[in-house]
Amino acid sequence: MFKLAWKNIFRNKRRSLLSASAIFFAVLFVASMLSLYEAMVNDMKENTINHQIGNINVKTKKYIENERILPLQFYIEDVYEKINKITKIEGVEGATPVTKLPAMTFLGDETNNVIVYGIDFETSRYFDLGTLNEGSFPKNDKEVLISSKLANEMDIRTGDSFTFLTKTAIGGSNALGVTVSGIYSSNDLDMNNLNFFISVEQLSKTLRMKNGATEILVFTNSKVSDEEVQKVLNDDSLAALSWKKNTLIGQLIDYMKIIYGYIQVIFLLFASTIILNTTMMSIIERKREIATLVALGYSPHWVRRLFLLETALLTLIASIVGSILGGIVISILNRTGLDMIAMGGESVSGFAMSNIVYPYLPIENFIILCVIAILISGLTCFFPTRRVLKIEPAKALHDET
Amino acid sequence: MKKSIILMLITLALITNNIFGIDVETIIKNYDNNTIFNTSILESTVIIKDSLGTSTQKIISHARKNGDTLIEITEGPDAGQKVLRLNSAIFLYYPDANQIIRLQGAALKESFMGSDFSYEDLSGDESIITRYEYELIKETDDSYVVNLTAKSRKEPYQKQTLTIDKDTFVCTNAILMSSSGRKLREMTSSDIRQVGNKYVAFNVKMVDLLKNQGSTTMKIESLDVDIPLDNSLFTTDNLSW
Repeated sequence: MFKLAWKNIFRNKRRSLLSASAIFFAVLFVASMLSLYEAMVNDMKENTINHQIGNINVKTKKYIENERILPLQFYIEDVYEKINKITKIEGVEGATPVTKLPAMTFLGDETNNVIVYGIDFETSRYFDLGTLNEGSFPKNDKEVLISSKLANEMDIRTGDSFTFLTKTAIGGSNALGVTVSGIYSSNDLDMNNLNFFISVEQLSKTLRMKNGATEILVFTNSKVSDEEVQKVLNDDSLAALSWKKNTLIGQLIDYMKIIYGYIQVIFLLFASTIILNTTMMSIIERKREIATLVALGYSPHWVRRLFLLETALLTLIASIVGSILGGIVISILNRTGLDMIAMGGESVSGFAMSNIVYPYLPIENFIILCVIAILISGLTCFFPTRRVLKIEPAKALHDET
Repeated sequence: MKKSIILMLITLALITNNIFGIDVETIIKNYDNNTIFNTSILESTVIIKDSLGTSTQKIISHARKNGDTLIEITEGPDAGQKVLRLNSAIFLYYPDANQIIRLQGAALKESFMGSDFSYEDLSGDESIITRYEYELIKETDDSYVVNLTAKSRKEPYQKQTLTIDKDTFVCTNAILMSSSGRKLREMTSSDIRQVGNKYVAFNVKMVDLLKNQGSTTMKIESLDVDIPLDNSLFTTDNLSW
């Protein structure tokens, strides 16, 4: 049966090519979409965890309740004492204090609204993906690292100084003069806004916090739960929340996976309608052949299986070729990267997206994609091949003569 | 006969005064007289109560008649910070900053040191008569209640309702409002003392009505008025000294 099915594929090359190309393009498209989705989701996840929230985020409960008004007064006191406790948990890779708040910079008469990050340059993960365009990381408390966008906006370079003004945790205001130690540009679009980074200790002093920070970013392996961190902290005023519970992206990722799954199936179903069409044509055209096979003693079910096998073989070939070509395209894009800004990525600023993403798709996804393509096209052909069972050999042979 | 006429005139004057009362312009002039000094040096303690608890800072304020004011925080977490009001601009000096920061316009309505007072409340021209239209709306045994409407849209409080003490012409309560009549702040004064020929409330409580909770009390510890002040005090150069 296999040999016969294989031969039949090449009997009407044009029709087979049409069916195969529908599956080929669908597999190519779905593979590309999935690779982009995988890259974007992983990218957003990495950026969210490393630059925004950690795998687990610790804040005071009062800060969380009033977060929209930036309640600096509800900061975490003696933050390193808490970090020491957290890092003793097995599976915790690190923990770092962060204070993030809006400020206003002053340079002569020029002012800018910016976001200032107070971080621990040794333990934070902000600059894993970042590139230092010039200068160095801050070596003392009065030095800052600024984004290239802010450097351009303020027209300053390494070694220049400016003053920033911000509200304090006791409700007043304070200003600090700082010197630019370096200029960075990050792949994370959100980090490339009008931002600058200063040591968390200095920011804590400026904001009148007692060795505090507004949050702790905890980096863990997947085995550590937020409940475990909460238990170790043993402080009812603090709340430890996993990034999945605490961010929109974390909550959306699972839904996005389902939506992408549906899109994948819809595309393959769409491609399968072409196979359905060509199979029906093939059955009508090969009525006499079917009748002859049945007259020779082959059961109609055997003939039907032959048609299904032809479809499966055709789909398999098209899927494999589509997957190979898709794999080549994806691996090229994985090396060159895809410029999201050129694709309008800046409009989704705030979603922790990178300006360049590197599409990739694990090999098992290609296998799953081929299997799904064969199943869907087989299922689609299941109904038209029922006609084979209804063919009466004597009538069919007579009609054809 | 003469005695009778004089007695009649005095009686008539008293009756007239009781019937018609004092006119609102005189009330405002007397009020302004209490608030306007040629110069003043005021030392006070500012107690800020909010959801965090209570914080205390001490300030010294130098002011002159045109509204120019220099405020320096002498004790407390923000000690060393200075605020200079010159015309309609505010200059802020922070000990750790590289430059003096200039605020103007809407920034005058911003909170001073996180208190319920704005920069405008603690500095600038105090004169009511030139800046507001006024109307006496109520008179009680102890006080006059006057409604004020700003002549210029630049005024931070477009409407005010003042309760002015009849004996001293000190404002004991002020409701400060926006042009729509929305209440922004409420000020209550007590501990009224005589300084020279003026009366001054030595205890002023301000509540920012837009905040959920908290209040700020300013207790004056010393007040010297109409004493010579060096003009150089009111310059930005002086701020960083």
